Amino acid sequence: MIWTPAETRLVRRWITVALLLAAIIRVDAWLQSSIRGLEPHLNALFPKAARFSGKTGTPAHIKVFADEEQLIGFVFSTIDVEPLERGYEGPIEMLVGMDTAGRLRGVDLIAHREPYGYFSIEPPEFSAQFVGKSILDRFRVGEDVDGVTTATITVSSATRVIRKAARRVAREHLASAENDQP
Amino acid sequence: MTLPVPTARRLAIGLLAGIILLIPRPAAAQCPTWDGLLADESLLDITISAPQMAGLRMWFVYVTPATLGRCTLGDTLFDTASAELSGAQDRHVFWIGTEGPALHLFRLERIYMIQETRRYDMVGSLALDSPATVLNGKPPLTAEALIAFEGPVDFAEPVTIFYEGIMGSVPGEYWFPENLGSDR
Repeated sequence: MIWTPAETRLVRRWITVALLLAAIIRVDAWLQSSIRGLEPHLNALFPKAARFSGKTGTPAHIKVFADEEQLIGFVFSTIDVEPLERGYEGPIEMLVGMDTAGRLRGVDLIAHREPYGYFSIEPPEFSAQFVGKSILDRFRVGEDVDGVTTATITVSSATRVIRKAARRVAREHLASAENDQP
Repeated sequence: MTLPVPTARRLAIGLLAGIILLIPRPAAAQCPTWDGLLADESLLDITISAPQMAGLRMWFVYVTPATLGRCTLGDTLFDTASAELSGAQDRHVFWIGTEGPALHLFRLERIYMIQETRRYDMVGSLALDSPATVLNGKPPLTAEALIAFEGPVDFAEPVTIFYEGIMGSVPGEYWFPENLGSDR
């Protein structure tokens, strides 16, 4: 069978479209795989979210959408945003949810090696005090964040990394997000 | 009445000297106290007092800016230290004072600082004869030194200074004084 030049062009066009679609599907699948296992944490931070993007950008973050278009917040890991920060024994990994107004929606402790972490940053009371906090707040232990005697370094480090990560994500992504809104 | 010229000149010189003496000297008048620096977080206190670690306390002041540097070190030491430790444009010198029973375990090399994704290791140091700082209200200090870091720093954001101890790291956050840009 011999194709005419017009048929050849048409076939080439369809092949190009098919390849592009495959690439898009593959990239989307790869992005979704970057948040695999995090779904329970993401849903806890944003229970009303319709969908979450994959982890993208610098610093890395997950976008949260109310529907297909409307961006309502970000979720980010403190280790991704502030990789050099650490507590007494090592990095304190937390997932932080923040809305587009720069208010924290929640903090979810993922991993740490702090010796006194079990009574300082693991109890839900520690994370709960960050809900509703603005990135413009002071985040100072003993002032707007409760201190825990004998675990000062751990509590201060966890507080510091939440504040620094949230402000950095806001600086990098909130301004552009505002421009994206209708 | 007309004064003789030498007398008038003497009076004028005396008047000028009086005016000069009445004008407050900026260096002395504007120097913050120890407690003032602590309050505005330009003086960082890092205390190692975890039960498994012996006591060691460190204080840091950023002395690269001339005003804060001269207030902390005095004019003579500031000039000597600047000549000794100032190098590249992005060189940052901190005064460090220490005290505590575990001072024999203290090593300057264990200090580093970070900002965002940048890490700064010590690139120079100068041991000082204590007492070196001239800050009013300073506590008793056992040892003092200057340490230098190098690299670009965003002065609008704090840096985290770490002392990497034997048992773990002890961080503290240092906020640069405001209006630093005009003083560097």
